[in-house]
Amino acid sequence: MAPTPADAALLEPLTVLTFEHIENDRDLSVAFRRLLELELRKSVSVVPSPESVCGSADCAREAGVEIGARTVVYGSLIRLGSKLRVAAFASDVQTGKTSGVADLAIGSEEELDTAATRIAPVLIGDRANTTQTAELGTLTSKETDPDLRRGGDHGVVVRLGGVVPTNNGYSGANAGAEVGLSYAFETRNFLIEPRVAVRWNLNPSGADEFWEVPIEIGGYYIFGRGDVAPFAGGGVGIRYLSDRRERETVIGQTIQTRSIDPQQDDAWAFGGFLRGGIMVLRTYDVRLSLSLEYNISFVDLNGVTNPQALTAGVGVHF
Amino acid sequence: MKTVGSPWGSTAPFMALLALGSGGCEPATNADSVEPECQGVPAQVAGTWVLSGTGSRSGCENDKLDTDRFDLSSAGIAVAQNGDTLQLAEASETFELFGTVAGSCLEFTTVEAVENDSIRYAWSARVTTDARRAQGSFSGSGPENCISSGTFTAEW
Repeated sequence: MAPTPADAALLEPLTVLTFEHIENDRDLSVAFRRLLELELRKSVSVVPSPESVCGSADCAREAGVEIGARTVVYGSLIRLGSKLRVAAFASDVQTGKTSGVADLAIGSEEELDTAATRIAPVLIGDRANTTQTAELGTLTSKETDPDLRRGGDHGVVVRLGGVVPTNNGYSGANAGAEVGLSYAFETRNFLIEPRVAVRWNLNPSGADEFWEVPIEIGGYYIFGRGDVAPFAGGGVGIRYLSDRRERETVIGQTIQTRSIDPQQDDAWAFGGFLRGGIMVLRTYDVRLSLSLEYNISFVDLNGVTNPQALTAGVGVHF
Repeated sequence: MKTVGSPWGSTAPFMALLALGSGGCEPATNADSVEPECQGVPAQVAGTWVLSGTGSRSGCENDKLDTDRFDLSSAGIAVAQNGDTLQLAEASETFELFGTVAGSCLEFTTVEAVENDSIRYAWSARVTTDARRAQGSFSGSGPENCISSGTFTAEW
């Protein structure tokens, strides 16, 4: 928050001196002075200073008087290995009173611009004095590069369920079973799940028989973050379907022949599904999901176009 | 060969030759190879026929038509007989029947139009002694180049 015009007037004009440094860091110190001047110019009037180096209050007051500034900024830039320690002070030239102090440790020279951004408002009284003796490299990195990578969870899901064909597909069977294996990538509100499953009919004594092996990927939105959270979504993929059923064949009219024979028809096909359900124990390592799914395959088998089914199941998320 | 006191006189040698020829030296005629039941007065088989039987079908272009067993049945087929010739009592655009009766032997052919194809059956049967039915076998072709065969009974 920039100081009010009245506050700024009390500081102006302000000058920034080159911070005290070791010989090898002269260019670095000069660069930091210029960075600090740029930040301070956003709020107050800054007068240029000669290449005066001051690390003490007395030196800074003398330089400020000579330049004609009301407020003088000075400090030190100390190198500790690859790290830098920046101590900055803002003092009233006439009274010698220190109006702002900032003391930061940064992880690398590249973070001096960020240090200048943080120090400037402190020196002009816009922010409380800041003393950070911890590694600033970590702090400034977080400030300048917010962490966009959020945590998530992933693991194997095993699902068991029942299948109910709806349009005389799946060999005309009344019911079937499903076993599925998938790998779920779960974030706060989203879940992506590639999966493979096997479905078959529950009619061991009959001649009708179906098999289905879907290979699909699904995406879901999770409503809520508690232990019980509804979810909804869908997916697409390919599947192998096999439909075997007894079919009556009638040929002729005046002289007619009738026969009942098992007809086998199978194919690979594209398909899709919609799924909704509830996740339970979501905050735990092992979670459950109860789901209902509508499934369609785009193929014609044994005279049935686009076989469809409803599947209900329970999934265990590891 | 000369016979004594023969009333044929000088014609005896000629007649003897004729007798020999009629005894089997000449080639057998068709009448000799025909089964006995297929000779004589044709059985009377005119009436409304109902066919039934079983068979099998294979070699179809659409293999879903192949079957190890089918049941055969028919609607009533009005058949007229003129001597030894059989035909439908009323002409039909989609169905034909023609054949012959020789003694108790029944041979006929049917052709039925089915969609853009046809089914042709060749039937061969024996008429029972009560002349109310015939039993025999059949072979057929079509549709879709299917080959069929089986046994049947015709009743009228």
